[in-house]
Formats: sequence, C-alpha cells, structure tokens
Amino acid sequence: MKLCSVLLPFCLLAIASPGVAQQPKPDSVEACYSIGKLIMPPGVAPEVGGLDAMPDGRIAACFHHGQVGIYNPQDKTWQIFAEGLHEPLGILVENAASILVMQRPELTRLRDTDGDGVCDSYETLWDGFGLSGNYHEFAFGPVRAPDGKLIVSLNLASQGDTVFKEVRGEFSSIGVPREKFYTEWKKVGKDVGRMYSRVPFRGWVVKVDPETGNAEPWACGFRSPDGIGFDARGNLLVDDNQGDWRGSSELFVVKKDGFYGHPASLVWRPDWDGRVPLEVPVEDLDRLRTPAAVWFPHGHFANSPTQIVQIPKSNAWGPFAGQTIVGEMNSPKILRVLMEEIDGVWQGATVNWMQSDALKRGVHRLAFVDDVLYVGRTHLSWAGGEGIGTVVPTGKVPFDILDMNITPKGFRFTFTAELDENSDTAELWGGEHYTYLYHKDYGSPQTDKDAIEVEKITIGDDRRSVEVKLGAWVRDHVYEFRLDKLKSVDGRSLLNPRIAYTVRRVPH
Amino acid sequence: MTCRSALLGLALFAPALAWSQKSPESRKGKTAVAKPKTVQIAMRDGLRFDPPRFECAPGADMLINLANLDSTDQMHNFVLVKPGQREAIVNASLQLADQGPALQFVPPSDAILVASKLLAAEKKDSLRMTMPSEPGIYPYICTFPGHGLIMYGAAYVGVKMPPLKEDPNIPPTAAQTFVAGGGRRPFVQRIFMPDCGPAAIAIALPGEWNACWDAGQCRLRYVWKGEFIDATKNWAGSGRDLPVPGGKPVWSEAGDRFPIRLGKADAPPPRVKFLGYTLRQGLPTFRYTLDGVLVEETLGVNAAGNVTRSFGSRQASVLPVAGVPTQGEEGEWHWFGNKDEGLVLTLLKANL
Repeated sequence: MKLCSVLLPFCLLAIASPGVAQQPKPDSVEACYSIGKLIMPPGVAPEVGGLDAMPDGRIAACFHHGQVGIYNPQDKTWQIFAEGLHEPLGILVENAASILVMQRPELTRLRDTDGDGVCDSYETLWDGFGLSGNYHEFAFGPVRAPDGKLIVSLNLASQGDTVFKEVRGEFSSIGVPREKFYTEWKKVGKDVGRMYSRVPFRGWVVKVDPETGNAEPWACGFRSPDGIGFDARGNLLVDDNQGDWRGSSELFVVKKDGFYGHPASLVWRPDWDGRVPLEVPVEDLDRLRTPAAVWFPHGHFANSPTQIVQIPKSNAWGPFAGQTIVGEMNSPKILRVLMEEIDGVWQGATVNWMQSDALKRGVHRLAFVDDVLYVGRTHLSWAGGEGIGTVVPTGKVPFDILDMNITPKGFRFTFTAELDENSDTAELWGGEHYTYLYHKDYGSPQTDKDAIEVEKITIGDDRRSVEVKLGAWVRDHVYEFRLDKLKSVDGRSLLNPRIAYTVRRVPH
Repeated sequence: MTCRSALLGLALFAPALAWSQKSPESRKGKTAVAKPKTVQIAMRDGLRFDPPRFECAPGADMLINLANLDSTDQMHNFVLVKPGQREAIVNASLQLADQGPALQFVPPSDAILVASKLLAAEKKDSLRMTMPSEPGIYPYICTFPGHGLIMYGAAYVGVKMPPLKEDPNIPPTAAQTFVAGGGRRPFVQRIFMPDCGPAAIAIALPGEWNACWDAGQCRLRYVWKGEFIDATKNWAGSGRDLPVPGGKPVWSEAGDRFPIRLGKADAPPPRVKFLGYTLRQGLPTFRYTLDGVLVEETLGVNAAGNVTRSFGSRQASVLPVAGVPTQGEEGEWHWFGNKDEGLVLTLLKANL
C-alpha cells in the first residue's frame, strides 16, 4: 500500500509527459506475431527436411529418419504417409495422393495408388546424378518453377571425409587420381579443397521435368545450397552457406548456365577445359562468376540461410505480403530479402523479419497455409533445433523497414509507420560499409570497413519514405545501416533496426 | 587425522600395493593417494563429447585428457561451468561476436571453473584440477560459436548418475539408439550401408532375415540374419558413420556379378536403370529396366523360412546367369549361402 502511494504519482507523471522521460521501445515480436508449436508425431525424430501445404490445408513434412508425415490442423493429428527415405531435405506436394521428395540418392514421387492414405509406390523420378558416399552430399528441393518444371540442388562433398569404394556416376580424377582417395586420403585430403565435387553435378542446380524425369544441369558454382525458391517476379533464388569461396552467406539470382563462385563444380561443365579448378587464378574465376545479389553478413544477419519462400499476398500479413523471406539455422529468426534490378543486375538488402526465442533456432523449412506460417526446424548435428512452430499474425503491424531501394545518390527507405518529425538528423542514419573477400579460405572478415558518410536526409511528404543522400559510393560493398535511434511519430523504435544492402550497381 | 586416514588408506590398499611392487612409483609408497583420477574425453563428429558424462568425488584430484577427434575439421574446447550455468555461458559465448577469436571463444565469467585451449582437429590438451568440493552436476560445454547449443555433457561430482536414457543433463541424442523401423518387419530403409554402393536400401524381412539391395546396380548385395540395422551413429551425426547391421552376411553376391539375364543365360551383363519400388504388405517389389526391358523383383520369405526373390518381366523370359545357381523345381533356382544357416535363395519366374 505504502509503496503504491509513493510510486503512483511518478507513474502518472511518466505517462503524462512522454517526450521527456520515455525511451522509445520497439514493438515486441510477440505482439505482432503469435508463435506456437505443433505436437510432433510419436516415434519420429522431429528434424524437418521439408514442409509443404496440401491442397486441402493439411501440411506434409519429411523428417530426418525418412518419414513423411501429414498434419491435419483441424484435429491436430498426424498420419504417416511414407517411411524409409534417405535423408529427405525437400518436399513438394503435387496432389493429395502424390508427393515429390528429394532424398539423398534421388528425386522420388511418392504415390498412394490404392487410396488408403498411405504411400505404396516409391517411384524414382530422377537419379541421374553422382553419389560418392561422402556424408556432405545433401540434396535439396524440389521447388516448382513458373514453367512447371522442378528445381533441385546438390551439395558438394566435404574434406571431412573421403569417398566410398563404390560410387554412383562418373568419377572425376582431375587433380587427384581416384585411387589416392583410398590409399593416401590423409595426404590428398588436404588438396581436394574444403568442399569438393568428384561425381556429376555436385555443386549444381538442376532442372527436372516432372513428367519425363529428364534433367537439365542449370547452373553451377554452389557449395551448400540448402535454400531454393522463387520470388514474386519469378526469379530463381538460391542461397548458400558461408565457407570456402563464400566470405559470408549469400543469396543468388540464378540464370541458366551461370557460375556462382564455388569453383569445384566447374569440372562438370560440358565445355570445361580439364584444368584443376583450385589452380585457376582467382582473377579468372572472379571474371567467370556472377556475384551474389545479397550478402547475409555473418553474425548479426545469418550464418546459415535456409529455405526461401514468398509471403502470401493476403491481408493477414499486412504490408509484408508478397515479400521474400529466408530461414536461418544459427539464431531463432526469419529474415526478409528486398531485391531490385539495376542495369540488369539483381541486388538488394536483408533485414530481420522476426527474431524471438519462441521461434527457436534451426529454422529450416517454411510453408504458408491459411495465414499460418509453419516453421520446420532441423540441426543434422550442427547448431539448430527440432520440431515445427507456427507463426500467426496478430494484426498489429510493427514499426519496421518496409523496403530499401538504391538511388543515384544514396538510398530510399520506406517504413511501415510515419516517422517522428525530428528524423532528418544525419546521426540517426549511421552505419558501416564493408566487403567480403572472394577466396578459397573459409569465410572472410569484413574488409575495407568504413563509416557510411551520410550527407543529407529528406523525409517524404507521406512521412514514411526517406531519401538518404550519401557522400560517396563503394561498389561491391555491403551498406549496413543501424537505425536504432530512429522512432515513429507514435514513439516506437524499429523492431528490426539493422539492414544490410549489397551494392553492385548504382542507377544513373 | 590426516596421517591416520592416509595410513588407513595404505592398509586397505596393501594387497594392491604388494601386487604392483614393480612399478617405480609404488616404491615411493605414494601411488594410491597422489595419482589423479583420469577421464578421457573426445570431441567427435556431430558436435558431441564422448563420453557425455562422468562421475567423480567432490574435491577429487582430476586429470581430464581431451582429444579433438572430430573428422569434420571443427574446432572445439572444453569448458567446465558451475551447476545450472550451461545456457548462460553458451549465450555469453554467442554474444562475444568479434571478440570471440581473441578470447578463444571463452567468455569472461565467474561461472567458469576451467577452460581448455581451443583445439583444432587431432589436437590434444590435458587439464589437471581439483574438482569442486560442493557436490553437484557440473556441465561441460564447447563454447565455440554455435556448438554449445548441442555440444555439452555433465560431470557428476558426488552425485549418482541416473540411467542414461533418463538423464536430463546430457544432450537428448546422447542417450538414443535407433534401430531403423523400430523393430517392425517388414520394413524398408534407404540409408548408407557397408559393402554396398551409396544408393543402398536395407530391408527387414519377416523372420530374422535382412537384406541389402543396391539401387545403383539394381541387385541384391547381401543377406544377414539377426537384428536389422542400428542407425544411431548415422542419424546422430551428419551421416558420416555407417549404420551397423545386426549380423554378418550369410550370403553375398560374388563380386559385381549380375544375377539374371533376359532371354539368354550367357548374355553379357545388362545396362540397368532403377525405377523405384512398390510396397505390398510392407514387402518391396523393385522395378528396373535391363537394357530397356522392365523387370520386377520381389523380396520375401517363403513358408520354409527361406529368403525368396521373385523376378518377372512381361517382355522377356528371365533366366539366372549361366553357371551359378542350381535348378530346383520348375522355374526355381537356388543360390546356396552359408549351409549351416540353411539359407537358400530362390529365384522364381513370376507371371506378371
């Protein structure tokens, strides 16, 4: 009682004069997104390799030990549809009785031919790629391209181990003869590259015809392309993990016959001249490659990006509808990527969408059904998590960066709410720019780092868009803004104040 | 007091001392009290400590021998912390960000009792320490960024360890064993297998029979009797360790011999293409083409308890490869395996 009577006047005072005492606070993630979880099916190791929506609103998921389960959100029950698959890491529902799964050895069509709700036909749609037996040769996908074809991706092998005595597919002895993989692995293991491609199409993205199973190797230069997806404009997006030849994790806009930086896979180009990829001068590789459209700066943004999906164009998701999101293994979050094409080159920014302990680490697969986002987690013995979470928008729109575009002189930011009237002071718009090195080493430090030189801030008439004029540009740099001090007209700070834009081209 | 208890200790250990008199240390009469208790802890693939836990007495003189045996080239350390502080230290290590490397990823904290060096693959370190006098469950962690979330263990100091499967202080994966299919028969599991190509399929058949079928080569590789496959290590790690079949092969196809021919028993080995399989009551029928001709092969176990494989094709007569099996009943051939096991593999010309 006594305490109350002492404190009460102060509380009233604080509420009465917000401009004096109150620090601006961001909306809480939980106020904007309700995060829940599913009860997982018994007897299934709940590491999720793939998630997709069924036409009737149920969810299909594939798991680490090879099961495919179907979850009915109406009665909250699971039904096991298929079992015994080899490390399935992607799933695509064709219809209620036909599901495609990418497992380690093949792309498989699972069908229920007798209508009892359980798969009885495991039909090999495509297995025309190599398997060396190396543990790191994961296979991801499929996702459906706008033309109806399927896109899958194939992980490289890791220097952490050699290959099986028996392999599937042609073996490339370029640089290291095959027998040495068995007789002198301790020695040659150092020479094969941290991640290597000794059987066909390792490090490639491949297009497969869902009717005939005919495959077309589509683009190469990948390392560990766990996330593939299409954006709202029909761009094929593929992300890749920090590592050798990847200074930080990256996202690529992938075109046919492109090369995206990791040289091991070049040996499977039909016109490859037989050189050892690791002996090709870095400058030559640099000329050959298409750089990433978006860097995910290691540490704050993403250390291990995963599935790429579009937010449905539904009112439920508010201003974010139609944007592209990406999962992340190492921290409990989902990111957005905001991309644009400048002079024919794709580039853009990444910003957190939501980060919350409730989301948990290991966000691997994402699927939207009826305004619910299902979040499947995995770890595969690295950092990550387990189980399936759900995210439901509450209707409250956080104060957030909605979009970021490059302009001839700087950037234009768009926000989800009107800015405070004092937002045009340059010190609110600080940050750093830096680049990552392209080299065979694992990762890269942030290099050539400098403060972003902000010259002028112009707030738009709508108070939601801002032109930030910069002093100078450095191309192929990440411009990472830290807008922690910015606030909305109603006194909120940004839910996600850090944003990183990868500058490849500057518009005229 | 101290003297008396030391003498008592010597008296109790007298037979042991007499037995080990040849050791130079024992001649000094100090072995029983001065030698530290030793525990060997390895860092292994799949971000795990092996063993995931150990027991010791409060205040024990302890030698902890560490070896980074992770073949996937990961760096690890060993950080022993106060009870209940595991998550706090893991989070503190994640917060280190850019300062991490300079601190070898060990966050400054009073909750840390001891920290090893950061060990690259194949490196070792030893820690000699007096264990805490306060009984409790002291977690040990790898604080390399991201690892500690799953890479931890528990030192039981003066506290009795619960059964492995009920231990909440070790990673859940440390206590699990996985027999694929959970013991159900029949059951089909695609997984890497020993002595097979990488597109392997393991099949638990009725009875105690099990088979390994190679989808890369479209042929049965071997058959064993006993438990199906223990996939614990394969599934607990990143897929590097092979599963362990519950018995030695009692039959295996010799070399790379392909078992059947179409039309002519002495035709050259066919070009194969795998098309998948169907399940009927859980038993697989593999479908593949030989030189473009569709063949179906069903595995099973017959009434006599023998493993059967039934081949059939709508387009061609299926024959066993020349000179290998002996003919039994009409349309039946026998591949003899280990006679003691009574194994006969039967080939039937099925009418499709």
